[in-house]
Amino acid sequence: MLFVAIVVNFTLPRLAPGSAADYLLPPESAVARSAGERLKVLRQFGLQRSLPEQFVRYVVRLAHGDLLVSVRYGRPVRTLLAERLPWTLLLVGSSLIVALLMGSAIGFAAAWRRGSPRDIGSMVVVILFDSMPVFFVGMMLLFFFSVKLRWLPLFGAVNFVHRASGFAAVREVLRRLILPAGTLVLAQIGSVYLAARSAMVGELREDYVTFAVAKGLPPRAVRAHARRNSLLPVVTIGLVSLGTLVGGATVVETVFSYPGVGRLVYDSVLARDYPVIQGAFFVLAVTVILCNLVADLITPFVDRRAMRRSES
Amino acid sequence: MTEPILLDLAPGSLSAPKPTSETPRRDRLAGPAKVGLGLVGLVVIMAAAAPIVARSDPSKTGIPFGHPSRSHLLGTDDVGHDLWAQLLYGARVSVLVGFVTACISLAIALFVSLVAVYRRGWFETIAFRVVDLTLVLPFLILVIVVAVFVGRSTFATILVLSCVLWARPARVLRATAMRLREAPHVMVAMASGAPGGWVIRRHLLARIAPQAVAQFVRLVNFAVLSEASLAFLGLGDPGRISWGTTLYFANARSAFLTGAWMWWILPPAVGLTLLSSGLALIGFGVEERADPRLRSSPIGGQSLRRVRSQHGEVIARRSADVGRRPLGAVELSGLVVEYGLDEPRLRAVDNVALTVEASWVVGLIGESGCGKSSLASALMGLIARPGRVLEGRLVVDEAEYDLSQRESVATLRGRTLGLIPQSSMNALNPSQRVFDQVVEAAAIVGSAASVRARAHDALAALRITTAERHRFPHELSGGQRQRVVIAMAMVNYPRLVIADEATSGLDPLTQIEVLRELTQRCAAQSSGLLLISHDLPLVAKVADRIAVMYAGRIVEEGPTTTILNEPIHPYTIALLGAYPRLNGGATAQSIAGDVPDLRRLPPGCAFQPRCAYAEARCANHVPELVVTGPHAVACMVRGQP
Ligand code: SF4
Repeated sequence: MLFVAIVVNFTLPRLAPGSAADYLLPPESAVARSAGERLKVLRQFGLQRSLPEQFVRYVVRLAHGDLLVSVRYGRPVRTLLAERLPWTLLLVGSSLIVALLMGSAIGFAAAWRRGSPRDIGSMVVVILFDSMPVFFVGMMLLFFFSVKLRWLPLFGAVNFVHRASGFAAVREVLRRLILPAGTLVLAQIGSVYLAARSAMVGELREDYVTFAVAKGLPPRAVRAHARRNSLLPVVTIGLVSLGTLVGGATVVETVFSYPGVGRLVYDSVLARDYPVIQGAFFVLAVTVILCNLVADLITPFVDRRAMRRSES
Repeated sequence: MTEPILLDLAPGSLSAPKPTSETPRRDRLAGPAKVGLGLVGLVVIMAAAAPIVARSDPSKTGIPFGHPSRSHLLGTDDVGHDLWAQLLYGARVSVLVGFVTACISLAIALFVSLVAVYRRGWFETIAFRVVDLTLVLPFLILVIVVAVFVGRSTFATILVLSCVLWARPARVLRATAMRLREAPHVMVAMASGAPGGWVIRRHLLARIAPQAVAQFVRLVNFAVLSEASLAFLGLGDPGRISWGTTLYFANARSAFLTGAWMWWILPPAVGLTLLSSGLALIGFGVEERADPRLRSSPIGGQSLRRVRSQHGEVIARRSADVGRRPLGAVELSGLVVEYGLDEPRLRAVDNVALTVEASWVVGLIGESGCGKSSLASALMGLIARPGRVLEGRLVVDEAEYDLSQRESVATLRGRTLGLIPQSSMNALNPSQRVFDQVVEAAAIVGSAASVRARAHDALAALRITTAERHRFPHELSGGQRQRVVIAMAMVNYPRLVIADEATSGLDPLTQIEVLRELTQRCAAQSSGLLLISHDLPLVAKVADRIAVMYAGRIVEEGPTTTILNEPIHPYTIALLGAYPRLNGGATAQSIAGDVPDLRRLPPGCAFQPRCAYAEARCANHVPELVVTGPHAVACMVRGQP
């Protein structure tokens, strides 16, 4: 997994038309102006060597945590990312949790009342939200809450936060988190809803649910039985869709000027700051892959059903 | 054996019979799909008609921030582009990118999945390693990285998206193709050396077509939204106006702060939303068709009204009563169950009456499809729509319950009536300890303080040790699980226990053992036991009385010895003939003819086409159940005293 991420990172600039040096050193960037600097950067990338040799050096560098230097900021990519990553993790993490909770609650309820006007209504609303481009949702939220109502700040930036301290800082962070996170929740809730709904519909068909009814349990308790077993596929799907969520975060951070990795990617795309783009991709890929790995590892422990199936 | 009728339950399913006719839910979803087609069609027409309807060149500049007017229907942006023209031409990019990308990705996905399934080996291994990876990597970021290096053009966008998007359909299609590969006719074709391309074309391609269409719709949707996101991030084709680029400029130049957002941001965003939701709606329709499992299921979907119980102290009283005062019988009468919405409806149970005295064991025998499981479901109020109980009356201790009223039946469940379902292997929640499940069943009645003690007692009575009680279902053996289910059904001292093929999943020795324990428990609690089974010899071992059911009716009923030694009804005689041990006959012979189709019953006696004693009048009149002493028979020829 990691290996492929590395290979993609290594190969792409070298496959692209023109010499890699052109990509790594856009003529308009500050660092590229003097000839000495240019040579230094070229050497830093080791571009004068053979491809396999370059690759080995590249991997060794990565192993040391070296992600090259930003062309635009002239600072190590690693430090840049270290500053930005926590914000993205906060944004993605909080919205994932909220989306999972809300999406599964609505999805489970819809599955229970399957076919009723309420189920169909919630389905239509969810499809609509799911179909809206993330950035449009973000823009609308921004417009209503920040521009029209002026309830929430227009931009989310670290600098504002650093000045405050203690409780005030936390409050400020939350105030700036609400809109971007809300956007991501709206963007993600649809797939959680659908996963929850179909998992629950499947569980409701299981014999133990029918038996729970036959036992004389009230509907609330019957639902709890089915919910318990529907939760796992929902959480798994939530974790697996982390990749999509991180992508969505890029767009959202751009709309809200939120100081995460996504905004950094956007700025770097505009500035053609390739080392940063690559470094960001690498770090995000690693994060997502790790999360998936964790999901794979804990699933068998949580899923009794998997055990039951493997036995029979 | 003939094709089993859909009426009775397939082994391993306790859920009520599945309807054979289409439910109306399908039509309900066809509506949204039509709306979806309309939405997508609208956008496609916009795209196609752009040059005619646009009235001006989208890239021509003019007066900035123009309000909507006759010449500029949607006004102009900050450099004077006509936004109406931009909207129309923007649709072209979305449609173009969406459909072309979907075609390419689907082609790759089909090729990879089909070849992988047909060829297997290294190709499959490598291809699906790549698929797994592509699916895990952060999608949009991956696309951005690729897009940055490939360049900014519509062609590049299509290329980039296709490279990434084929992975998911490939995985879905492979799963479908794998299932098909195991289908007998495909295996035969492959084994007989048919050329691979032919097998794929002839057998696989046609079958996965519905899935492929569903995936195609999804791909278009993904591609449209991804293109918009890319363009929004400034990675779109600079030479073309798309909805994404319009929004990119609007965002970059703070359209919200200028008040131009109404005609600058809304139109393309709404366009995207409509196109995408249209595609999603079509997708649901197609998927529903491709996967019938997405349709109905028995529980939920209707309101299971909450039951308020005044059962309170009944339990305490009842357990004290046991052995002192004889309890009354549980009497069922006039039960009619029908399935289906359109004529001819399927009448699964037709005017059935049964009496089970306290502590009696009554066996209900019949072939699969005779309606005996529908009878059990009707008693428990578990008949799923579009099935329903037309009428039926249950009398317990002078209290009368109308079985056609769901609310009325719900008060019986778990209190007066206990169910031991078919395949009780699956009747336990896999992720809850069995003790907790028994406690939960016990808690619906009586005081909270005694609940745990009663659960322990019930389990102890069925020889489930303390250690076993705190295990998960998968940690117990089949026989143990079965006994847990029995304990659960009996924890509230029900007046009648209904065991529906309750031991069918077990090996013969365990079957008898569990059955003995079940009858002992019922006797100890003075509960009646209705033992529903197709296994006459097994039932005969423990039953006091036996009722024989055929085509939804009871055809003979009487004490076990009478039924075994002096059967009168030709069907009972034929059933006994199938088991030589029971009546000393020489050879086992199965009953000639087919289980009747309940939709098209013969006029007159339902057994007539298979009956060895049939006379001319049998085809004209339906025989009544005639009671003589303890014995009842429904046969015009042999049943007359
Ligand atoms: S009524 Fe006639 S057809 Fe029916 S069981 Fe009796 S003899 Fe056979």
